[in-house]
Amino acid sequence: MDDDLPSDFQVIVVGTGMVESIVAAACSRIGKNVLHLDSSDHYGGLWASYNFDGLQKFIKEVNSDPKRKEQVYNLSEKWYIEKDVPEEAEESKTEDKSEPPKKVWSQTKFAAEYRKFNIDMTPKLLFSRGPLVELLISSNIARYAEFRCVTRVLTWLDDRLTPVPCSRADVFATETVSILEKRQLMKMLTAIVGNTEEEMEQEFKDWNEKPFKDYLTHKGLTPNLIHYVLFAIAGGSDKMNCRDGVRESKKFLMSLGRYGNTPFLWPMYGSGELPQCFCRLCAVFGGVYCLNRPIDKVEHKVVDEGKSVVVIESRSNTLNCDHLVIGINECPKDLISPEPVECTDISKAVFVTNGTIMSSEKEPLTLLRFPPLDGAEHGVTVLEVGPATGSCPKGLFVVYMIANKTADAETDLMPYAQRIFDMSGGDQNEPAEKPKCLWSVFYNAHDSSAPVASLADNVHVCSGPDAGLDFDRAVEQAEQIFKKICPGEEFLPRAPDPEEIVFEDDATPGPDFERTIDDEDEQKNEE
Amino acid sequence: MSPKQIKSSHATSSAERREHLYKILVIGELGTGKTSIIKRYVHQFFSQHYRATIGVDFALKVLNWDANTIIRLQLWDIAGQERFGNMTRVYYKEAVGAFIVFDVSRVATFDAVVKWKNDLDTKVQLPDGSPIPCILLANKCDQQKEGIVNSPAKMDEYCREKGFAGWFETSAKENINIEEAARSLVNKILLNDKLLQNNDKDGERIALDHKIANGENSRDPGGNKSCAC
Repeated sequence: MDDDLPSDFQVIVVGTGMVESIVAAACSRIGKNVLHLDSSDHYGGLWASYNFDGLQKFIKEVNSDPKRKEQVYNLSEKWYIEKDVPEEAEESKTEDKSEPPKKVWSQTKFAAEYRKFNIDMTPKLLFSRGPLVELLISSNIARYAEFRCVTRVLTWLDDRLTPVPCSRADVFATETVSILEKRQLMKMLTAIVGNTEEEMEQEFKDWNEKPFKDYLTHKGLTPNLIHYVLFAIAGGSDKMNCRDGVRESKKFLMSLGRYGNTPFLWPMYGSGELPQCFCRLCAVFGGVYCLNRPIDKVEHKVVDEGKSVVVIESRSNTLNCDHLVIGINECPKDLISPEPVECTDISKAVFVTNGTIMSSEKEPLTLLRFPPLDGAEHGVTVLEVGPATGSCPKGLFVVYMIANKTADAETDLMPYAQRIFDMSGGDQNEPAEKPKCLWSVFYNAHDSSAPVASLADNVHVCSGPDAGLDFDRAVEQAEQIFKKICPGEEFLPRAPDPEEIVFEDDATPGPDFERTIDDEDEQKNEE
Repeated sequence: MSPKQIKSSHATSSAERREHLYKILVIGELGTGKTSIIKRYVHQFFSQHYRATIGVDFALKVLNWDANTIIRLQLWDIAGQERFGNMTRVYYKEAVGAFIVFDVSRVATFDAVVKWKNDLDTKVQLPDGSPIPCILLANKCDQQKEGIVNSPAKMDEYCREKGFAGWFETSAKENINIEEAARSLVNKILLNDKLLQNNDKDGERIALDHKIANGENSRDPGGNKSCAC
């Protein structure tokens, strides 16, 4: 495909991660001339989702490319199933039982259905009233995406999985909580959602720095209720302070009742879809896209009148721009301020299983907040997604685990995995309480989510994904960067719907388009 | 536009009037005349100096197919922006047909056709996993031709070999064969109609609708509290 790239842009964005993509869309939307590059052949960078084939390539890359090792390390992949299943073994089972047995999976069958997998490197949920949902709606980028509601929030209590009652209906329907506890819980939740700022201030003024757990205990909540609120609703730990606990609980509660039974949405085909939605908007408004395009060198030049430009060498091209927006994973080290950033890395795991962790009537979409086990400091976030989300073939589930790193990913997460999966391999059709784990990968990811200062005013470095549940920090950072590049401009005003231009069969040539530009290249070639 | 409508091509049989909505991709090398073809087909004009529209995902063409059938075609142009072939999944998803365009006067654009076809087939399939129907357009046929496009027999063979549903010599400038090519593609798409209808989506996918959200956002404080607890 033609490699004839123009050389001057107002904004060049390098990397197609979430923050970069939002900034690219916002700049293009208000009429900036944008070039968007990525060094790899797919969208999303550290935020990408892969089909099974792409994932295998990613794993190979991590194991062979030292540059990748800076981002991802301690990677271990494991199969719990055979390479091939003999056909007769399958058939004999069909004869045994009246109802058809589960499909017997093999590595070959995974490979054959590789396209049906969409496995996320950065699985995240959206709060139904969170900033990303609001931005998708107000910008009309929502039309590029579809979502499913998380159907349930689970926790681990008394050595088993338990649903967390989160809506009023749930609270009253649940049988695990007594009438008295129900009243307590409702009162507590009402207090957290708060009536006015002053009332909140009054209620929490002596508690802010103290542990949230102590506040909940002080309020007379039973241990079960404290568990629900602290671990499942606030997503906290014993050490969480009251200010954070109230803020997190409020966020959860405020997002209830908009789309489904829980406060959360999951994007169809995975989180990796979302950066692409912003990229599409950028392209539709004239942004030029070029993947597989590593940059070799970045220079900062002061031209006349103190104005400075950024000059990029990429392949044999020299590209100039007023502003460079660059993802941390694409950024040459000499562009970043050398101050070390303090961070904890992330332990992650992905499992493919042959059933859900807790059976339910309809296909579930689950958030499980595991409280810390065996004296660990932090809990583990678990997301289970099924075929209806476009994440995997029928009969399978994809389960993600995310936690702060303590030792290494496998050591950190294996105890949790063993609680909810059968990790022993063996007969996939034997009756079992827990779903069989068929495949797993554990890895550590470098936490690049802290904001990094760049060495020049017109170079803007975008953070990588954080360990948090949502995209809120990415949205916030993207807006900050946009405001620096385009002060005073609106951040992603609503894009018109395509229906606004409709030509009937016999219509006269239509109205003027809302905005037009000269496309010189096309024009030249059309002649 | 809720994407749900795209695949469902819902038929309102009670009124005996059928409406189909089909997403069609128009792809090919830079400068082969993709945008001109769309403009000619949809807006009935051709200009050597047209101005590219921006901010619009697709052009809509409404066809009164027969007495009982209305077909809406969404023609998705890559519009020169994703010119290096790096389209997002948003572009490909749920497409049911495609045109691949090359310029008969530049053989390099024909050489790239197979790359575009492969790209298309890896990124989008029909619900049963088969490739979506795709028609090859030998555009600018009013100009001097280069390569095998001079031999219709060879072109037929090429199309069979590469899995094209057919090919047409077209000219956006002279308005040659564009209606015919579109008609041919729609016929192929209609053959898959059963397949597309059977794949109607489950009702639990959510499109975030700004109208719903706006109504819902003007919530009264009492209502808010009750649903938040």
